[in-house]
Amino acid sequence: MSIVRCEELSRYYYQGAENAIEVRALDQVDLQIEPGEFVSIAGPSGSGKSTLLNMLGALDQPTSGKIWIQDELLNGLNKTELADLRLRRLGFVFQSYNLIPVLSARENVEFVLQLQGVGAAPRKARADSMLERVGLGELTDRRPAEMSGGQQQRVAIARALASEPDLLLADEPSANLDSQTTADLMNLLTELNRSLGTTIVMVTHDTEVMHYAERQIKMRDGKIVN
Amino acid sequence: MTNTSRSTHSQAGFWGKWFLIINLARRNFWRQRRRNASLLLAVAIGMAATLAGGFLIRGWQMSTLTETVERFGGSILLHHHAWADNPKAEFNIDLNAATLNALNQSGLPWIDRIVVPVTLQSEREARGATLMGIHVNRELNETHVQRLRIDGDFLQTEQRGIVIGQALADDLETRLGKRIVLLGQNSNNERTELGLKIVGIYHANSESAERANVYVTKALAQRAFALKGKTSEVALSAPNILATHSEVLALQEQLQATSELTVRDWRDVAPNIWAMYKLVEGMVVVWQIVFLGALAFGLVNTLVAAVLERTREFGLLMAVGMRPGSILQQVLVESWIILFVGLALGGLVSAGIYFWLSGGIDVSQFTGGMEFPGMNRPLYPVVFPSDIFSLVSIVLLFGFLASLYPARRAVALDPVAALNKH
Repeated sequence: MSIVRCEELSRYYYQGAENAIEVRALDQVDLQIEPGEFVSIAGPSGSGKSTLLNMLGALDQPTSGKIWIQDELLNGLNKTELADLRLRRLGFVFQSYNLIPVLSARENVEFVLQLQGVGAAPRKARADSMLERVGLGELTDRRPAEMSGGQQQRVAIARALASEPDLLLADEPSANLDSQTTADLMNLLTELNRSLGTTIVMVTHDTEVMHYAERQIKMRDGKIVN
Repeated sequence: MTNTSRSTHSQAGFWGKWFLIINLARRNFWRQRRRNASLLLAVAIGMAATLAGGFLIRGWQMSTLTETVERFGGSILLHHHAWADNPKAEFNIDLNAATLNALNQSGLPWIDRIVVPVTLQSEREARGATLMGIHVNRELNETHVQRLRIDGDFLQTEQRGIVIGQALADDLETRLGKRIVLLGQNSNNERTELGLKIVGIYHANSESAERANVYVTKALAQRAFALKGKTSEVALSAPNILATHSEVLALQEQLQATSELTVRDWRDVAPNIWAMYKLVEGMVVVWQIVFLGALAFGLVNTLVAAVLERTREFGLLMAVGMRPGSILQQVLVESWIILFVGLALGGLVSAGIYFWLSGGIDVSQFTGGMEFPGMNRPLYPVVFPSDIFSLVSIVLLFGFLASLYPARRAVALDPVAALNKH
């Protein structure tokens, strides 16, 4: 069974006076992603790659078309059901890390587990293990403001993977990092994809970064072009 | 594939969720400590000022009430039914066995006195006043008479004399030791004339009080006004002057055989004081609502700003799977921490103010010359538990409403827009 399946997925925005201008951010997209795949979505600005990622992440609803995460149809789910689905099945890594500033690295990783109702001891063990795995075993008690951009992004990856999601969605994860840190981060994602079998969908506009993925999708004007 | 396989419950349990929310709220409180400290201070000051202001308003209200009741000698008054419209000796109470039995059955302490309108004449002037024929020792021990400052004697050694107020003495151009003539009508509507020596001059806290009453012994008044075995007024002291209704009803029932008597409490006898009491009652609530309403607007403004500042953070919480209801609770809890701590702090400060002022405040320099009861005595703060209850309720209600708006704004955020907010 596919991890993700999209059928004729479209997302239109309306702008201008009386919403006269229709912007087709996503236009009749069909997509299927299989378990364990590492997929990159690339394209110029405005090509619709982030919109597609938001759809896959159940953060946005399509104007038309259908989208499934495994066997679960996302269309028509309410806000609470979508939140539950994200918590259970999805992990996110954002361009600007988006860690909770008042929590330490460990607490940030534990946060999602805590939302899932995992008990204190296994939660801490899993958070420490994930932080160890991303190379931050020594920095578990540091707050985001006390870490570099690369370190924060590693915490974000640890947070996203700690809950063992079916699908990890990464939105320009290396956009704010230097080339060496980017390479380290991409090697880490590749290694996690292989060792944990986590399906990863990554949006990037960096041609070097997109080649870390085994399958590359290119988008233009809201459509998949190859 | 359909959407029938909707999300099963996958969130933390009740305690786990609240632990998470409270922990995050606690951290966020310290994160914005300067702003939260000012908010907290505003709530505390608002609470303390409203409470302390209420203590003083209540103090003044109760002072007015107490002085009024003290002037009557009790909170419930018994008169001949015609006395209220025409308070003369003819309309008196026969202290017969049935009346005495009813009074004693009431279980309330009581005192009676002769009350007759008279004219006083000195060598130079004449003035009207109310003659009070009293049980001297009891009045001196139990009523407001004990607070009068007396020059001379208050009928204890010279029982055939009269005691008048300083202002009346000035009006009559007379003084201690001089004689005056007292004119009036006895219970048979016959003219009564009595020459009496001024044995005492009293000083009250207002000139109107010093002009109002003159005192003789009850025995002398009974003789002079043909009221042997009779009296004009019986004052009963109910333990709670604000709850006299049941006592009035009980006494009315016991005295129903004596149809010529009427039982009234201080509200009926002094409707202006009762109206003032009700007015102050409303004022206290309005004072609370206005003060805390203004505070609520400040609270909404600051909390909305705090939510807007953290838009991305709320976007993240949504993205990682926090339910909208939990986000709402998160913002509410963060506001309520400020509210509850502010309330507690304000309560402590107001308690401090209460104890600081409990010795009484001398307000005579502001109220000197004012003739309203209770205006010319030290002001003591009074705590009404109902005021504290209503204030806390109003703070919680306003606080809840004030924090609900920003909380709903946080929930209404579009996660994608929130995450992309810079």
